[in-house]
Order: sequence, then C-alpha cells, then structure tokens
Amino acid sequence: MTDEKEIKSSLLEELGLGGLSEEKQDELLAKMIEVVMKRILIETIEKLDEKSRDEYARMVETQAAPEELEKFLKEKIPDYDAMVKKIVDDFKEEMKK
Amino acid sequence: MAKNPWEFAQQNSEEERCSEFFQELLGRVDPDHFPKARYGADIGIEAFDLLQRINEINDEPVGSGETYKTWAEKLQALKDLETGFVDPFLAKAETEAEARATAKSSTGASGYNSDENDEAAEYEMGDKIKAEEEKEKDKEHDEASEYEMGDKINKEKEKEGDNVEKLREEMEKARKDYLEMDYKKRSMRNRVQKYFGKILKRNEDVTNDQDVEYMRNIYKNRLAEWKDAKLEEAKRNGSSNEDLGRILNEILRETNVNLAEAHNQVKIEQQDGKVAGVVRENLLKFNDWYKKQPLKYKLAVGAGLGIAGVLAPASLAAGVAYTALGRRIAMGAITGTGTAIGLEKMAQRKREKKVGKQVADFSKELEEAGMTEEEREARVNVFLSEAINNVDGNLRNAINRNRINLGAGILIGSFVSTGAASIVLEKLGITGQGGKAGEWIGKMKGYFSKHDLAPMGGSAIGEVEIPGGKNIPTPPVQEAPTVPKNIIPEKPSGSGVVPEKPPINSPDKPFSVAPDDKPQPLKITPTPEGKTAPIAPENKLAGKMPLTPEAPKGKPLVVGKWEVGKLGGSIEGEIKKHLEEQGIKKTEAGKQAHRIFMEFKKDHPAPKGFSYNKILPGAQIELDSNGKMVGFHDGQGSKWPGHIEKGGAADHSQEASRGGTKIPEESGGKTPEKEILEKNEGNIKAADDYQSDKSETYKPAGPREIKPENWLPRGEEPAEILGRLNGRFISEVKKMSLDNIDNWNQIKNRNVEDVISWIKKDSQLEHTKLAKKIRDVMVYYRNELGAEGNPKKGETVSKWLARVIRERERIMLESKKYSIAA
Repeated sequence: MTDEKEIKSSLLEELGLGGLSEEKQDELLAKMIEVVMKRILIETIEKLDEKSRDEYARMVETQAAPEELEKFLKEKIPDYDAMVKKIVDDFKEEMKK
Repeated sequence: MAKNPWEFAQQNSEEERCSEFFQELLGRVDPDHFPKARYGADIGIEAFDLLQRINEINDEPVGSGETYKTWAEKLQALKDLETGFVDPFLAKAETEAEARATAKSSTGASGYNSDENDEAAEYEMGDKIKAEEEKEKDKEHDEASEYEMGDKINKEKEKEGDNVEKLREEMEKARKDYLEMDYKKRSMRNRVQKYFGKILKRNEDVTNDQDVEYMRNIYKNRLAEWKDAKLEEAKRNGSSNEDLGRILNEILRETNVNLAEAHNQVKIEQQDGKVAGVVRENLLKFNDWYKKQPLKYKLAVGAGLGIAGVLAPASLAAGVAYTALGRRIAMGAITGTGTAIGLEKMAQRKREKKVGKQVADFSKELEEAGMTEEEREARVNVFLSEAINNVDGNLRNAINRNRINLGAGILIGSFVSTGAASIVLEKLGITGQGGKAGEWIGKMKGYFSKHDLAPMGGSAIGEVEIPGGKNIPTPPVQEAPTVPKNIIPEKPSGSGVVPEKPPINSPDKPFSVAPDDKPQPLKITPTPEGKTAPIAPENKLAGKMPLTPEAPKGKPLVVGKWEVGKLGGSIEGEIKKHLEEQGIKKTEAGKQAHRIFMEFKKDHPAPKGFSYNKILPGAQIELDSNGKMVGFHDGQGSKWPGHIEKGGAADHSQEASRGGTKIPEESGGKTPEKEILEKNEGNIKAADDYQSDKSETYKPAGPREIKPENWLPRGEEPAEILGRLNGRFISEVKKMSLDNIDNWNQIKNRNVEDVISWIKKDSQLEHTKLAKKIRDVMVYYRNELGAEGNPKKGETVSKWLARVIRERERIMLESKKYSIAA
C-alpha cells in the first residue's frame, strides 16, 4: 500500500485538523470523509431526472461497475466532475471556518 | 397589494398574468419588501404547494403566461375535488379570533408600506394577515423568551453538573431548526426559479434571508453557550490553558463537521417521493460499508475525492495510484456499487492476475519446450527456488522498509493453489510416491498462508484437475507452529518441508530443501548461446523428492561466458544474466542477483585490499539448488579462491577510487570506469559539485574527483560499496539528464517538485522529457524504498538522488544482517 502518512498529513492540513490529538484527528477525518461522500451521494441523486434515476437504480441493482456508473452520471449530469469538486471545495472551506 | 391570494387571483383581470401574482407572493419573502419575512415565506411556500397540487391534478402545469382567471378556476376545481379542503389562510383567520384582535391593536406592524396598508385595509384578509404576523411575532418572542428562560435554567443546572449536556442538546436542536429553515428557503427558491427562472433573477441565495439569519443566530448563541459551558467544565476539572486551547479547537472542528452532517440529515429528511427512496437506500448501503472500513481506506477515499488537494511532490509517485484507487472506491461507494470492493481486494486481484499469467506462462513453457523429464524437473527446481528466495528476501527487506512485496509469495502461493504445482509434479511422475507431492504442496501452502503472504484465489488445492488426466488428491494444509508476525520465518529445511522461520538473528538452520540439509550445487550447464542445457544423466532426480538434486559430479555450474583475455563481467551481472535466462524478468533478476552476491560476500569476506567486483575470464560461479552462491570454479573442477587479487583485472573499483587503475592492454588502454569518466566528464563535475556540499553528514570532496565516500555516512561502508554508489549515481544522473550535462546543470539544484511540475506546466519538449525521466527514477526508488524514496520537501534533485542511493544501499546492508549463513 502507498504511504498513508503523507496522504493523511495532507488531509489534516486541508481540513484544518492540525493541533488535535491523533485520536481526535482520526475520528474527525473519518467523519469528514463520510459527510462529504454522503453529500456527493445526495446531490448526485437529486440532480438526476426521474428517468435517469430509474436507470441509476437499475444499474445499482445489477451491480454495475463503479466506472460504468460514473460514466453514466457524467453523461446525465452536466459537469459532474465539477459538481463533485465544488462539493469537496465547499466542504473544505466549511471545515476551515 | 397583500391580498388573500385566493381573492386576489379571482378578482384580477384576465390580462394580468400569474407570473405577476407569484412575483407578489415572492415579494413577501423579500426582506426589503416584507420585513416580517417568515410569515411571507410561509404564504409563498403554501401557495406554491397549492400550485403543485393543481398541476398534479390537472396534469397541466401552470405556466408563467397563464391568466389569473384560469388559475383561479383551477384553484376552485381543486377545492371542489378535495373534500374538506380548507383555505389555509381563511382557516387560520377564522380559528384565530384572538390573533385578529391582537392584529387590530397593532396596526402598522405588518411591515407593509403605507400605500400597501391602505390597499390591504380594503380586504378582510389584510387583518388576517396582520393577525398572522402578530402571531408569528409573538411566537418568535415566545421562542426567544424560551431561550432566555432556558438560559436561566441552564445556569442553575450548571451548578448541578449536567448543564453541558443540556446545552449541547439545545444547541443541536437549534442547529436543526436553523438548517431546516435554510433548506426550506432554498427549496422554495428553487421551485420558484423552476417556474419563473427567466423572470426571477434576484434572491438566488438565501444566505442573507432574514429568517435563515434569525435561526442561524439562535444556533450560534446556543453553540456559544455550550462551548463556554464545556470550557468552564474543563477549567473546573483543572485543565491547563494549553488543554483549554486544545479543547476549544476540538469543539470548533467538531462543530463544523457536525453542522455539515446535520445539513445532510435535514436534506434527507426533507426529501420526498422517489428521490428520498433512492437516496435513503443508497445511504443505508453506504453507511453499512463505511463503518466497516479501516481508516487507511477512508483516507484513500478522501484522497480519491480530492480532499487531500494537490499532493506534495513527496507523495506524487504513491499518490497518483493511491488517489486513483481511492477515487474508484469512493465512486463505488457513492454510486452504491462496488462498495464491497476494498482496496486490498483490488490490489490482490491485480497481483493474482499478474501471478496467474506467470504461472500460465510457466506451465506453457513446460508444455511446449519439449523438455525431457529431467529438464522439466530442473526447471521446476529453479522456479521454486527463486520464488522461495524471493519471499525470503522480501521478508527481510520488510523488516527495514516496513513494507512487504507480496509478489513472490503470491507467485509461489498461486503456483501451489492454482494446481500448477500438482500438474508439474504429476508430469514429473512424482505424484505416486507415498503422497509426497501432496504433502509437499500442503506444507507449502501452510507456509505461505501462515505468513499471510499469499491471499490465494484458487481453490484447487484440495483436488486438482489435471488437463487430460486424473485428479490428484492433495492433503489438507499442514498446520505450522504459530509464530508472532514480527518474527522472520525460518527458511525451509530438509525433507522438502518448508517450515516456519526462527526469530530474527537466529541462524539456526541453513536454507536447504535437500533431504540431508546440505546445500547442493545446482548443475545447469549453459550452452554456448548461454541457454540452459539439459541436465547430465548423473544429475537426474531419479526417485528423490522434488527440489532435491544430487550433488554435482560433472562440471560445475558456469554462469556467463567470457572470452579469455578480456575483462569479465561483474559477478552480480553474470548471475543476473543467468537468472534472466531462467525466465526471470530483468528487474527481478537484478534484485535477486544483487541479493545472492551480497549474501555470498557476507559469508565469504574478501581479505583486506581485495575485492570481488569482477570475475576473471573463464571463471565459473557456483550456485546451489536454492539459488545461493557457494563459490567459484576455475572451469576445470577446482575451487576458485573466492576472491580476486589486489591489483588484478577484477579489482577496478578500488583502483579507480585511488586514481591508479591498472589498465589491461586488451581493453584499448581504458577501463570501463575510465570510459565512463571520460564520457561523462560534465556529469562527474556536477557530481563533484554536489559532493562539495558542506553538510555535516558528508565529508568534503576534492575537485573533479569521484569520491563517493563523500556521499556516505562516515566510516560505515567498505570501499566496494562506495564504488557501487559512485557508479549508480553517475548512471542515474546520465539517465535523468538524457546524457546531457547541460540538462543536469539545469535540474540538479532545483527542487524535485519544480522539475516534476514541468510535465504539466512546461511546454518545452526537453523539459517535459527531463521531468518524465526524473519521475521514472523517482517511481523506481519509491518502489524500492517506500516513502523514503520520495523527495523530501524542498529537496533538490541532486540531494534527493544521493540520499535514495545511499538509503538503498543501507537497506541492502541491513538485510544482510538477517540472512542466515549456509
């Protein structure tokens, strides 16, 4: 596996968690990543129209590959990557307040 | 204006458009137009709810161009359809007589301007609206009073010690109220925008909405109270100022993430219909998946989503792959698919795929090579020996590198688990020997599974389907003694069994799979083309266990070929060549050759002033059945002395370092080192420049002289290592600078990060090429050294390169400490 310490260090910096105890850092890091993932999930589904949502549900049901689903979302949601990036960026800003 | 929307809609002319009416409704939410925004907002929201219900019933949306009359008719139709439907506005006014009375006594409090008040006074509903406003106002006051009262109560309870918890609950409630209001407003805005997107260009954000601000302030107050109480509590418990600072920081960070989480929650709760269903279903899956993941996966996901931002150059090599994998995991989780696929599982699949190909290639080779039984046996011997040695070497390296390359373990593990081993053994005709083959396989699997080295995908260990033949039953895995994971396993020993290894530094048993525990030379005689030739009849396995060849009786193993009178290749190089001829990939062969040679030198140290660096022409290197180097032969059967005389043809590195290399006539008056020196004069100068670095770790260097010891920790490495470091440095410099000293001068003192960034930022082709070369080298050392291979922050190219070369050598030396003497 790659170097987790460096990734972690970068995450801590980006999310303003420096100076906390390691235990608290781990706890909050895990929670933050969870929250941002949920946010992406919610917004993703919200952005789909009804037909696409049905298709999405079907793909989930049939366990489509993540890449396949990501491709689908990119087709159905304009600037999907930008949307994800904005959520992440906004989230990071919120966390630093 | 400010009429009851029902009446307002019915009384206006057909020419007036619904859009204006909704503009009016929306105006009530506009803080500038309607200061008592909460009430106005409710009207607006209810009106739009009605609108939607009408649309649902009529299956015909109300467009912005629709007249009031039409819309009013639809409203009426709705009223008729819905039995018991009560006008929400009228109903409120009728059932709240007290509110009306209050409204009368508070004229002018509505917030309408004077003209609007005059107009509103003509309508009864104006009073009702006022009453509503007043009621709302009172409610707000009541809420504020409740909070004030709550404040008093909290202060009292503070003495009782449960104040903090109570304040936290209040804060959470206020937070939820605030977020609900925020969501409600946003939702309403969105719906309005949906209908009148072209008309409405204002109020796109509710950030400054008065209602939202009001609730936000309440939340902030509750938050401040809770925070103060928590700090007070910490003070009472004797926390230092430093502790208080830390606690405060924790509160702030925790508050942020909890707020974000609550925001998600409100969003989920407020959704309805199919959206809610899909969201909740996927969230359930996500929650279930996420809580099971170890932190390292969560971090990978964070990186994959880009939370980690632009990785520092030190993380580039690792980060790219890590981030890509994390991204896949994240998308799998977010999209509700692939959530069961963990990082490790993916990596395992990748490894198994690779191993599967190796095993398939190996089997194919055995099938197609037209080998005799003996040849196949010898080939299997080499294959397994290399794999075992690989595992052993990786385990040792893991001690130092804190990482483990599972490749070798999986290679042999898959060899066993996929049934390939059984197939090979069956082909060799050794399956019927009292179940020995099965026993061997079982123990091998036990060995690997015990060390968690081979997460084998195959299940063929129980019964193996032999192509075109019978099934070979194999016994269950034999349990090996439990050994703590931080202990190095013992090398396999006699009887073909591969047992656990002893603790570090415990040189108990030699590495051998021969029945008598003695390392036996493996006799593979190269053909003139350097290809492995059939084994001599006297060396056939004949009735023995696999991997237990007899001692050689004929000519010893000769590795490499040299013409008499010319310089021989390096010992390591010749072993590498030999391994490559056995089908081992170049990189892996290099690693193994290095390890084999290093181990030999450790066990057979050269006398002072002598070195093993070159092998004399015609010399033969002897390897035992385990791939371990046991010595030299002169090609006539007698043992080579094991070292090269001082000043001899092979002893170049020391001579070079002393500046007095003895140059053989046959080489045209130049040693290879001399040629390198001349060809790379510029690079060497650059290296010299680096050597003059005044770091206390390194010794100062003489001008234009290769003194690799200047790059090394003092007094630790022997001269031969210095020579190797020197050569490696120059080689890497050449590679990274594309053989151009000007390039090296450009990059040597730059931060690695800057140079790597040329790949994207710099349009000059040469720069991009350079950057890619450096990245390639960086990836190599990253693979070799783990995190240590990455450039440190601000580290220049030359400093980084010297460091990783030293570090690599240090690890090689360290790993030797753990090798077990034959």
